[in-house]
Amino acid sequence: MSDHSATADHKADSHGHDAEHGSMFAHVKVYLVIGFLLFFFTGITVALSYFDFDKIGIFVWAFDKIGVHGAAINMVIGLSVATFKVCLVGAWFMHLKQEKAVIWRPLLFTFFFVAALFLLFLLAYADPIPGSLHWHH
Amino acid sequence: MEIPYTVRPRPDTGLANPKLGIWLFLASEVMLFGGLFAGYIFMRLGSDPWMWPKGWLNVPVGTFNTFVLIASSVTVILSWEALKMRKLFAYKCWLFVTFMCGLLFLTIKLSYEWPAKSHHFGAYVHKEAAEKYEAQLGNDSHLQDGVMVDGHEKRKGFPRLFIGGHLDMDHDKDAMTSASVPFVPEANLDAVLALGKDEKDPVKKAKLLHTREVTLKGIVVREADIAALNKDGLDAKTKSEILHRMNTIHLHAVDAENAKPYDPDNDKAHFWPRDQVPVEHLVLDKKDLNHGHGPLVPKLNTYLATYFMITGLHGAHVLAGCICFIYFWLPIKGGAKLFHTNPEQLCNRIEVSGLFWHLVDLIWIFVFPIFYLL
Repeated sequence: MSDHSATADHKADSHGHDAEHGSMFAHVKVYLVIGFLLFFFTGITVALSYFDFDKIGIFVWAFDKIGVHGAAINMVIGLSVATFKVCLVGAWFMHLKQEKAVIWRPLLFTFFFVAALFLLFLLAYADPIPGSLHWHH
Repeated sequence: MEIPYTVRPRPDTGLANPKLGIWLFLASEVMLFGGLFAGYIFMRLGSDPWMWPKGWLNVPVGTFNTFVLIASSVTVILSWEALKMRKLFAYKCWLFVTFMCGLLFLTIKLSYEWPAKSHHFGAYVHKEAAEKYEAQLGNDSHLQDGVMVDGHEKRKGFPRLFIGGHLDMDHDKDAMTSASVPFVPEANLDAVLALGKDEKDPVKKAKLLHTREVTLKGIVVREADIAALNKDGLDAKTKSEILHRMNTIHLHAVDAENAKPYDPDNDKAHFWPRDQVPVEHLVLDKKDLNHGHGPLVPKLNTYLATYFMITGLHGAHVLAGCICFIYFWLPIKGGAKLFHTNPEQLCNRIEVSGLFWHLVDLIWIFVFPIFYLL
């Protein structure tokens, strides 16, 4: 089976050899840029975690609207940057940007169920055990 | 049996089998780690604020490891591109760099980061005994408002109950082992010492004596003390000295937070690890401590339990990736030799293992801020 497909691929290879090489180099450039962005945002994540957002009025005001304070602001920002980095890896390194629907459609389910898992903690606030920490919130 | 559609797309899915297979596997991996992260969120939000430590991990080292993993994500894709262009040498070079990055990541984790935890002592003091260690904990329960301590206004907020530091392992190699043994009341020691004493049946006696030996090793730890306890005519003074050694922990350096508990610097995040401060004579009574005192291992608190669980499972994935890469790199039938017979299949193998590797990187992108920074 694999021999068959190998010859088929060889044919395709000899077809547009030069054109393919050209686009490959363009790819390499994109990968390096994404790699650099990932490095850059890692630095940003580290730097931001030492930043006291409680001292900046506009942040306090904005986060107050959604009910986030103190260290939690750093947490929201840190995880947002991480999510952005994950999107970069997914879209370019894992080629999800140009992948077929057969692949990304099941991933929507994964995303949905993981999001549901992450929000499970809300149940602890909805029905707290008396005397536990959640009780006071 | 030959697996069909390893290279050519299946007519019905439009994809080669490995591609669809790896994505289904990655989806299940996301659920696996998602469950662990969900557990982490649950415990993080539900834990007492003072029970969740900050600054226990080495941020520069963690940042470096993050860079290593990102770099390897780039190199694995470069090796795949090289293979697509049918450049065997470049493929082998980039794949080797990827493999070495994975190995470097694991080496740092296993030879430095994890062992550092087992050399560090930590304990939580009972709330009732907190006042006794006020100099290290700096709780203001018995102070009046506005009192200045150490040049700083006393800190408000939650009680601190954690004392961390280093034991003098140079002079007492059993210090850490002994420090992780729970408090032993005198009656319990007597009961162990009496094991097998009045037993007539030689078989039963041998069994009991064996139990006695093992238990003594477990609770007394230090060999000299065990020998002294086994000597005939053990006097009360020696025994009480040994009991005291068993039930106390001597620290010869403490964490910066415990050295200056009122310093507002403690509430800030620190990039560089803070130095430990030598202390003259700090003795912790095991009776005052919560269970789990000893090295910074999972039983000490939830933070360490989740840290070791998640980084351990992630590390296992890094190892798995490394094994795949070295297999595809070696000049064997399923590896680099495949280049000469079916290069497109080798290409697919690298793409699929590369996808796995990106997921490993992606998980670390979350692990790093969660455990090291936030």
